Amino acid sequence: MAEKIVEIENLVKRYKELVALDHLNLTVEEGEIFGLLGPNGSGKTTAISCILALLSFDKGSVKVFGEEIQPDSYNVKRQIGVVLQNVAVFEELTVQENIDYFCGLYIKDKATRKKYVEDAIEFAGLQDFRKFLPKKLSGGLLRRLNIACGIAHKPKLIILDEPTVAVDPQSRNRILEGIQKLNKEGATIIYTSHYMEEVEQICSRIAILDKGRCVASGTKEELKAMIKTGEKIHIEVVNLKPEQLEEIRALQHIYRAEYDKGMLEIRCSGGKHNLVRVLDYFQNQEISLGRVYTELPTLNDVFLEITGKELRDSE
Amino acid sequence: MQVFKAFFKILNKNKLSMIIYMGIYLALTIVMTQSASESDTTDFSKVSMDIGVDNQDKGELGEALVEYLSKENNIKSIPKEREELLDTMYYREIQYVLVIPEDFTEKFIAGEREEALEGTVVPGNSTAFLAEMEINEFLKTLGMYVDGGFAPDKAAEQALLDMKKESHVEFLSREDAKEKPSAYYFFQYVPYIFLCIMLVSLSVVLMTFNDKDMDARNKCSSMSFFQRNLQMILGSIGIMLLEYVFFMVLAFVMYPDYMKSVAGVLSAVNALVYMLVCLSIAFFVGRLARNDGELNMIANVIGLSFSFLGGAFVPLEIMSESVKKVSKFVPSYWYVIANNDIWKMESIKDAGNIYKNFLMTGAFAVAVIAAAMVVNRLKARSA
Repeated sequence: MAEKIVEIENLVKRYKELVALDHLNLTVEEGEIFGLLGPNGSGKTTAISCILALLSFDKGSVKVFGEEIQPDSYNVKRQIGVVLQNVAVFEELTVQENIDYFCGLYIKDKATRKKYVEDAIEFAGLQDFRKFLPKKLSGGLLRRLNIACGIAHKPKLIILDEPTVAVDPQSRNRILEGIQKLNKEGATIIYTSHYMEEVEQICSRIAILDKGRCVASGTKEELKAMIKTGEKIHIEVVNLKPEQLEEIRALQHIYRAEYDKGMLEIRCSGGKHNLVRVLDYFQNQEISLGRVYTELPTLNDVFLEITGKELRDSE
Repeated sequence: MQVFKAFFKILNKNKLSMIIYMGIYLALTIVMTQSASESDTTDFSKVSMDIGVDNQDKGELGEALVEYLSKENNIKSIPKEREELLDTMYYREIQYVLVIPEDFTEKFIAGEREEALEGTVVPGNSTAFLAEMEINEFLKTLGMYVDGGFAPDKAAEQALLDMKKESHVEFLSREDAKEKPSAYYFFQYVPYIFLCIMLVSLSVVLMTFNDKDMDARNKCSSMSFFQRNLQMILGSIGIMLLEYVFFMVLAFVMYPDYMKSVAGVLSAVNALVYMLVCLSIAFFVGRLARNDGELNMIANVIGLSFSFLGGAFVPLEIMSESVKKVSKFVPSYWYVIANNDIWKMESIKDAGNIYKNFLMTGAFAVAVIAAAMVVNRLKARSA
């Protein structure tokens, strides 16, 4: 069984009347890319701040590398790399100086530090910008610098809090590939985002937070299996009669069918050969079809079904 | 020593604004020192002018006027020829020309006083206007007696008697009549320069480190709270010493003799104690200010108010008692008092009060640091 890197039990954090974390339970195991998914204000950043001992909490416990985390848990902190939501670099220092500064907070040996800084520059693809001041960098490069500063000391646990906010697609892909590379090199990753596509793309296990609570957790497949929604079938049909729509709704494993402006959307609740069954019906009824395509359930469907709202509705 | 090194790297990147501030303040100090030394008043004497008089008056009043003017001025006769008169005026042999017409007494008694006299000021000579002021003053007094029914000779006699009375001029303190050394002015404006320079250097660096995101990022690291703060304190002291040494070297270059004297050493100590106050204020402001705009505003408000209230820009002697009571609550007051005492000091035995003022200034540094730590704690709690 893999070692538990982070264990959060019954964590409660209140800001006066507001309950930011409501008896949160989470476990992150070694070698995972663990995704914390949730809309803005769901408690992702608060949970991260508690893991890093940046915030005190009202109840519960947070263990990192098996040790209760405290502001002075410096041995534990030495093994953690942090990329906070807001870019935190010195405007007055160059790219290289910034990485060297943050790496130097962990690594005292000059020669090792020099090598690590070079590795981080290469990892983030900042070789051509090492003498640049942060204000001269684009948004994507600045985010990459922020990541380089956070991972330069080669930590075992890397916490990335929404590292791709306001980043162009090219830089986003590079960042996501980099995170996967770090994971392959042995780092455990905690990744928060409200971009479900990113989380689906890179995370091996996901927890969905809403109103400070973990409403679901598991692998992508496990999460999707939790909900009633299976595949969605979209069919272009002209003049579908109401009685035909009722007959489609009565087919096996179909729990919802809506017809609007020539498009029929059918939601299936699992089961096999749903598309074949629907197409057979259309053939038997001699109904002409246009485009036909199917969609597998997304994390947004999971979130929608569990919480009753869109994942990105608060954006 | 990552934090310590970063301190100076950030300072180095902000050096241009510091150099500009230093240059401006330095230029101001030198100009103010020069002008203050030049205009320094160590004694008082009446201004005496060369006045050319042509008294044609047949009465007593013209003669009385000439007698009055002759007391403080040199009365000269006017050349008869116009060309010769112009030459005399051109070469400033006379600064004012007064012609008293033959019917002056008659007209004056009759109340036709507006054009009773003919006076000419030598162009470009500002002092000559004093002659007109003197004449008007005398005629005003004379007119009172004439209008009061005095006979012309009695009126002239009384007016001359009255005008003998002089304004009493005295210095607020005996020492002020002594010539102040130039270095006095250099150190007098130090409260303003030190405070502003510290605010635009140290506060800027501290503001960068105290930024919410940067602070959080640093707290996530494995560098201990003690190590981080120790390096920040060392960095702050380093910046303070750098700036202090710069100004003291400058003082040595500009006033070598003074700086080698006991007074010079005491002035340097006084400046160092005040620098500690500036350090504590910069530390406090660096914790409070959220951006450069706020920082500059605070620098100007504190710098100017301390300098004016403390007596660096306005002498304490001319301040009212109520203002002085308020002044005692600003550290620059105690610095300025010490600076005044240092140059007046005859021997080191007189330095007792100076040490007390050092302690008072130092107490402000401790108080501000304590306040900054309370704010720190409150901010940490509210995080």
